Amino acid sequence: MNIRIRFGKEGMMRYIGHLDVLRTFQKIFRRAGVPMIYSNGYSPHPVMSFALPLGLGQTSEGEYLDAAVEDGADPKAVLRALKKATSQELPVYALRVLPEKAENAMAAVGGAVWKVILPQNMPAEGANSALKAILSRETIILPKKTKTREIELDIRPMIVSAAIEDGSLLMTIAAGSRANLAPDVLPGLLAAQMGLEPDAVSWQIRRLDLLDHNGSSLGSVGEET
Amino acid sequence: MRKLALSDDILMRVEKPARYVGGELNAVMKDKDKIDIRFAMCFPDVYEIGMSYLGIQILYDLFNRREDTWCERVYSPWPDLDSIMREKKIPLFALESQDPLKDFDFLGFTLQYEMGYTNILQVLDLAGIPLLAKDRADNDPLVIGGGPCSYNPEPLADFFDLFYMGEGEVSYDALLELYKANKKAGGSRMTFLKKAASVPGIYVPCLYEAAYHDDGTLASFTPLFPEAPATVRRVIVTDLNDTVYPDKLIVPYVRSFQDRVTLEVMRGCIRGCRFCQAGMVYRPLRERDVDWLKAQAETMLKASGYDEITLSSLSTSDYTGLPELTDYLIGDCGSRHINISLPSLRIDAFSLDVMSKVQDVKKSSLTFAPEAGTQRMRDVINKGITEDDIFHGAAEAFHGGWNKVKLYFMLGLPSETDADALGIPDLCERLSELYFAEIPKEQRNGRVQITASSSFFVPKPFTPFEWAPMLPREEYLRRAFLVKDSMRAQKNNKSLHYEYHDAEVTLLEGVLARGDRKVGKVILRAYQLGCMFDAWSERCDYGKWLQAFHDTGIDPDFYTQRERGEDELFPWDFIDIGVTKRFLRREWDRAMQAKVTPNCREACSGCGAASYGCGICMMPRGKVPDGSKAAGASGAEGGNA
Repeated sequence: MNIRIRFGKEGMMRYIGHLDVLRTFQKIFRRAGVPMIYSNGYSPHPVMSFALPLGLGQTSEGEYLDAAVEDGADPKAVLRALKKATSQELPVYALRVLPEKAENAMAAVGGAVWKVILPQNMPAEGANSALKAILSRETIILPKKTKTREIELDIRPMIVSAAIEDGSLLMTIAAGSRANLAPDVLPGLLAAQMGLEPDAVSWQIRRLDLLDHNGSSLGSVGEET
Repeated sequence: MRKLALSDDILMRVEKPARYVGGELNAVMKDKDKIDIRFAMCFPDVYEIGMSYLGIQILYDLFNRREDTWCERVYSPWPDLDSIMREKKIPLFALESQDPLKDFDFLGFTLQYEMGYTNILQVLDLAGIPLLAKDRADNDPLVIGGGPCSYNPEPLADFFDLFYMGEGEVSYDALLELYKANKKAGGSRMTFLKKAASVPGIYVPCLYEAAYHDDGTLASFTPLFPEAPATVRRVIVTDLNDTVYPDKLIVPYVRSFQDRVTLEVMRGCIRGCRFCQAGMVYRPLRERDVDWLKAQAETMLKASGYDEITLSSLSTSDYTGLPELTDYLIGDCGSRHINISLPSLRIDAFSLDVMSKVQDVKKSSLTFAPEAGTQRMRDVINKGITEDDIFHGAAEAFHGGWNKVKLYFMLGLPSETDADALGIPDLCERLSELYFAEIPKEQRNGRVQITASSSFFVPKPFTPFEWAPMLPREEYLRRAFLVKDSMRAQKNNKSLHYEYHDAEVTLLEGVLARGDRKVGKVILRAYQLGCMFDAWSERCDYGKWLQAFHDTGIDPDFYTQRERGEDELFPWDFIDIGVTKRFLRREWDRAMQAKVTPNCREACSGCGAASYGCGICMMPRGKVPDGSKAAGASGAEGGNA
């Protein structure tokens, strides 16, 4: 039985890297007594994968983890046990049993919803008009380093929507293996548009949700528990 | 959510910020307004090393069971953060509360290796606590040390207010009660220290005075106050089944060096290897009950979520309940994908059978510690294994499917000759030949790989070799090259690999291990010159240490190159560890005659540990060896009397 859990990363957990969070979840599952399915082969490990790594320093309320557990496990009991076994700063919110042919979380990711809290020196009004100016461009060409060379990339199609609300930049942008826009690119453009040096601005980045290729939340697949 | 001591900006600039934020599973949070004693426990090295150490977890659990005490942890900030903290004047803090260490009542250090000494000064300095105990005021934390290196506390005497000699379970309650009462009564720091000196196992260095002969050796070591006992006796738990043990280990988010449950099966060791300090200072052997261990394993695995458990002791093969315990763990854990790791095993049929059940033979290499290359040398150090044992063990291992073997040796042991050193490559070569003789070509799984690794021997206090001289740097290197060249000249040299430790660090360790109070100046000077993380050999700056010796007028050779006289008073002689100096000297004499002494299960050799009246000393055993007067199960020999 494949399950998908939605979880968050708060407070000090934002300093814990992706692999350490994965190892932590393996421990949480064991503490919760959830019967995991192990991979075959040389060194069996629990079958578990994240939708998309979150950058160090970023918080989130919309992370997803797919795991295989033994058939017949009661989803309600599993969720209860996981909530009990985890810590306050790594909250487990929801669990869904995945339909048999569901795409795994990693392959399913197409977009991400972010909230970027803007610093004092980027007042909402100025940010608003700067954002409008950026979004009105037909193309936004940025240099991008690949493994071997530097290419030019149009990031405009990767911005699905963006708006300033309550001193924050809310944006839905492309994420995943097909096209991926880092969450600090648009805030960077915004600062430049407002005439601020890159060193003069810092922001707090928070992921609100991950979306599939159709724009639906990754957490909307399957039955709610 | 807790407020962190370091800003987001700093945490994002340093390597592994998780080292400094605490908040791990099972870390203990308390309301600081509702407690009387704040204790910060420090392992003076980087987080991942310190978090791997069981001792702190035991004490952490012990202290936090007290309602009036909150014990927190602190580790050495890595050099990247160290320089930021100095530049921005950020005081060092404890992980749990993130409060500055200066607010604490106690700052405890575990002293695991000599090369960590400069890190103690780093922690004090970053915390804003005066480095020298004599400069501390009433409101500074009391700095207390414990652990194996405290059995010669003298090089650190200037920096510590107290040392704790022995096992934490015994005297800490009394010490904390005393502290609380003194604080309530408005007593001064000195009032507390004098009272503390009467608690069993507690040594207060400022209450004693050392005087020296013209040649630099110790003339006398005397208490200055009536409260200070002339001898400080190590305290131990007599019944290990009567102790508390942490049910809930703190589980780090970043991978520590021991990312697993550690289950201590016993304390002490029956073997009596003459180079080994732990084998002497933790006597007598005391085992934990096997049923208790089974239950404890279960509890700890459940509370931590670890997928591995390790059985810990100085020589786990000597634990009498081992077959039963491993059978249970294999049955219970195997089905749940939990690995069992068994370090410190002697290589015999039983241990190979267990290992083949719990490990993937193809991947793992097998580790032997013959310690020396010739039988004569192994008899000198009382290693208690014969060449037959080694070859039988190796043959069994080869048949069991292992073809990677690691061998640990020491060079520079007392009385070692070139022939003894050359015994190392010879032994390796003959082991590789054994593989070809034992395993038919079609069953071989690649080439046999034999890796020999040698460290240079450092004589330690409270061992039969505490009188032994070390060798000059050039001589250590000559012997290492001798082994290296000979290794290359062997017929099967392609199967053999050799590596050796740093000679310079060895000599520094030698000074610190058997140093006296005067050596404290050198440590302080080395720290001022920038020495830190000396245990990380690539970070140890030998040149700066030489500078420190020069600046303080201390001759390192006095501590390393001299054979100490039979009657010399040692800086650590005021400590009574149970094992007597007379026994150690007898063992030194037997070593010089290459005579083996039986282990504690074969016969009692009257080391003195029977004075604790517990453990192996109370079991009926064989007769005493030739000529030596000894105490058996019936009688106890007194301390240093």
